[in-house]
Amino acid sequence: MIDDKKLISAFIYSAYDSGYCGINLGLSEKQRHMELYKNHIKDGSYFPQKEINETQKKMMDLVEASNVRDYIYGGHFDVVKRRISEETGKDFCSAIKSPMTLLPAISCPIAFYEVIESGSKRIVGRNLFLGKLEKELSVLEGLENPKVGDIVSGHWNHFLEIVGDWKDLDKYKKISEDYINFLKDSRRE
Amino acid sequence: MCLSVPGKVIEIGERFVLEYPGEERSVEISLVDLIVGDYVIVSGGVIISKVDEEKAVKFLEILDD
Repeated sequence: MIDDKKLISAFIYSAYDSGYCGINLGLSEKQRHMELYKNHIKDGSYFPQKEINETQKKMMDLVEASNVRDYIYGGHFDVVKRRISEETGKDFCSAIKSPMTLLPAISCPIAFYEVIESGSKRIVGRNLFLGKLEKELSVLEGLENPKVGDIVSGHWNHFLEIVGDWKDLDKYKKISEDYINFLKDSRRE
Repeated sequence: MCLSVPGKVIEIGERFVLEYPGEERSVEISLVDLIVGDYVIVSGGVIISKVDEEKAVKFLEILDD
């Protein structure tokens, strides 16, 4: 389990890097934030608390999360559903009939992976609940070094942290699995 | 945090006209070369990238499998 601030930084960095998130920020402002997050992850330098205060408060308030992991591994799934619904003007189940909307619906929430290839700057993980989905994830400097067989979390195209030894893992895995099953059921309707 | 869904390029002229579910939006600047029919992501009022349709369809197939 990594430091909370590193986790927040990695989570937001990966969201911004995807291109799908932080869309209301100007590009140069987004780049500046990303640099701050990346530097904090790398060497613990200045944490952009001021920059993310508003975002973080919104994150927590939206789902009444009491800690950052409950938000990232729990409440964020509902936030994604709500945002996609708002953005498309449709209810979530209808919106994800389109593959172009399904893509962020799958990639925006965190996912759990078993590492099947490992390197210093990238890993390949197999999604625990979509077994045919194998994804390459970048490993930012300063995060842990996952090995083959580790269970890890990933967000968009980035590794977040090793989660295999968590006592709360089953709780979070169930939320992730339920979300994937919800997507499958919605597609079938 | 905000979240974007891809828009489809339906017109390229002085501005890029994009189709979203239920509405059209126009954008002045694109950082990538585009043709009509491309799907794109807009951030900070600028088209920053194209979305790989194949990748999107692959996700759909994996989920429906």
